[in-house]
Amino acid sequence: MKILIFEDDPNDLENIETCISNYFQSTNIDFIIDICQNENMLIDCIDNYDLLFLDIELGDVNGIELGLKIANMKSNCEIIIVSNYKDYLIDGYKINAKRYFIKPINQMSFNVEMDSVIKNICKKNDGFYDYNLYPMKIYFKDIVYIEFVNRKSEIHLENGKVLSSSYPLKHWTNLLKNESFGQPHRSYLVNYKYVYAIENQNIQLSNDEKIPLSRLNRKVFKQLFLNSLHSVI
Amino acid sequence: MNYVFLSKFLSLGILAYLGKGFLSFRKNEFYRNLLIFQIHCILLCLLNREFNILNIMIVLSIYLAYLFFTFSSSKYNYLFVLLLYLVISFTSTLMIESIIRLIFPFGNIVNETSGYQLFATLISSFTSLVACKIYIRIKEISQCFNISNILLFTFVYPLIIIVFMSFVYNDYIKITNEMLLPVMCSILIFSNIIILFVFYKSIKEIELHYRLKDSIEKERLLNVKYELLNQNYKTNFKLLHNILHYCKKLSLQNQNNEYDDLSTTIHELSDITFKEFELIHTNSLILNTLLNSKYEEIYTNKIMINTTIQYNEFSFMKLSDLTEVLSLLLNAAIESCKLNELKKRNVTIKTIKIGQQIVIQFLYPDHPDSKIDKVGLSNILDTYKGMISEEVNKELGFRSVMIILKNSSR
Repeated sequence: MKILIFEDDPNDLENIETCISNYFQSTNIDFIIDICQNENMLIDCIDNYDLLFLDIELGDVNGIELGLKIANMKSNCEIIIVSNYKDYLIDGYKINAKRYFIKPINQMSFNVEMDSVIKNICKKNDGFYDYNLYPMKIYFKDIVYIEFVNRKSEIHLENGKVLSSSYPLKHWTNLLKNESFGQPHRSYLVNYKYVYAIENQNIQLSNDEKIPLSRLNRKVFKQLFLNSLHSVI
Repeated sequence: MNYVFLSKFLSLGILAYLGKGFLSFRKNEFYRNLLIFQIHCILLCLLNREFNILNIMIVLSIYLAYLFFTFSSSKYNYLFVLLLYLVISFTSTLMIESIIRLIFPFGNIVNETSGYQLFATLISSFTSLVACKIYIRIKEISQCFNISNILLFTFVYPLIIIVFMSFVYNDYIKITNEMLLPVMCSILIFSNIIILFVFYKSIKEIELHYRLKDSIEKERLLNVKYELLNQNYKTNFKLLHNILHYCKKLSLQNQNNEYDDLSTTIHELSDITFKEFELIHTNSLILNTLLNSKYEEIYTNKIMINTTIQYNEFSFMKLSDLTEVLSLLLNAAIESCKLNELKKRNVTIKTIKIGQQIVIQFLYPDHPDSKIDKVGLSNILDTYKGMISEEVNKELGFRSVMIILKNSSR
């Protein structure tokens, strides 16, 4: 895992580095830490990293603006905000950062908070190849939902593409059983990541589509959706 | 078949029931009371033969004697119960007799051995019993609102009627006498006015009762506020005292040129200030209050609290419910921290909105003995169609408790 730290204070930098090293050593995940203190360099190389620790109160640079720039670049790099003051964190929410830390970072707090973030980053490349369906790898994170209709499975992707497959829904249920997917209806398999609202008879997705929610599956689906949030927030 | 014994047995039974409702037993011994009841029942059967003034006096004396030997109270209360019983018994007999005469115009109700007599006796006794129950209930309610003395006035009309009836005994037809009718009407109006007055007083009493309740609640809230302010004062005092202590230490170290120690002290001071600030300052007013109220416990047990309040719009929830939910979760987290070693005592509180879901999350070190009051939480969550989920990360040894709510007002 490639990690970039954007921090100008040597003490805080040391604190962040120690926390990262301790965590990764305990989890046996390979990692590389790079330090950057130049805004342009950061923007140029951000795509090469999985994780960025961004200090909000930088000397000459406005950390919030820098964070917004990176967020607008839609980079795959996840942002973690670090700050001396809690009040600045409110601004940090605009950046859509994954986590927020107050300096100095406590190791226990770091481990607890970062565990789900790191695990999600590790899983972000999970997917499968099926050249009959798609010429490239299909990432699980990109599947919004799968619908079984007219004896065919239709895979709806985040980019709006719909892939058609002759596999029954059972095949997809087995393939995605360890992923963050749930079955709100016997003909649908939904990625919890895209659930916007659970209504009485429907599920509203973040792309404004509605999926039926059967009375039989409602309770289990809601509970599993809630359980899936433990690794998200 | 003569039903006199049955009639007397039921009458005395009803009097006993009424007495039990208004008076207290002289001795709470079942067999003693039963024996007194049986003796008086036999006396009533033996002595009540003809319907005349003397017999009425004898019957009333037996009733009074029964009340006296069975119950312990003042002579006015005995008289009151007896009068009430007579009113109830008389009016129900009169009412049932009229109804029976209406339904069975040719039935011989006067004949003590006829089936009509048995039917009338049973029905009128039952009616009397129901009336007694109602009066006892009225008395219980009146005691709740402290209006028993005023309520007694509602009996004015029946009491006047009984006195009036003593002059027209054995000839109920006289009641319909045209001359008596205006008197009856006047009494009825008077009685109704009194009942209205009693109703007015009752409403006033109820209003006062609620005002009192309201005042007690306000006083309680004021005390809670005072406690919280006091707690805030103590927290601030402690913090300032600590800072003052460190300032003195810093000044001394500076004077003595102990720069290494000075650096350590500055680090300690910033660490303490950070912890205190983090503890008392969140984006949520309720959480601030809760953390302040538990400050002493958190401080003494060296528990570190981190808060990330990204969503704070809980107006769809009652303040008391939200406080209760957060308090139950915070209690569970603190208790679990206490069971863990010092370095693990770290609680993270987060609130966030994901889509339309409002999520409250508590992360704290796990311990097998730590428990959450799920019943208490579920009672509140059911109101808001909320759900709870728990997950334990065994690798890191922490527990994540999550509550999901939906803003139903939108």
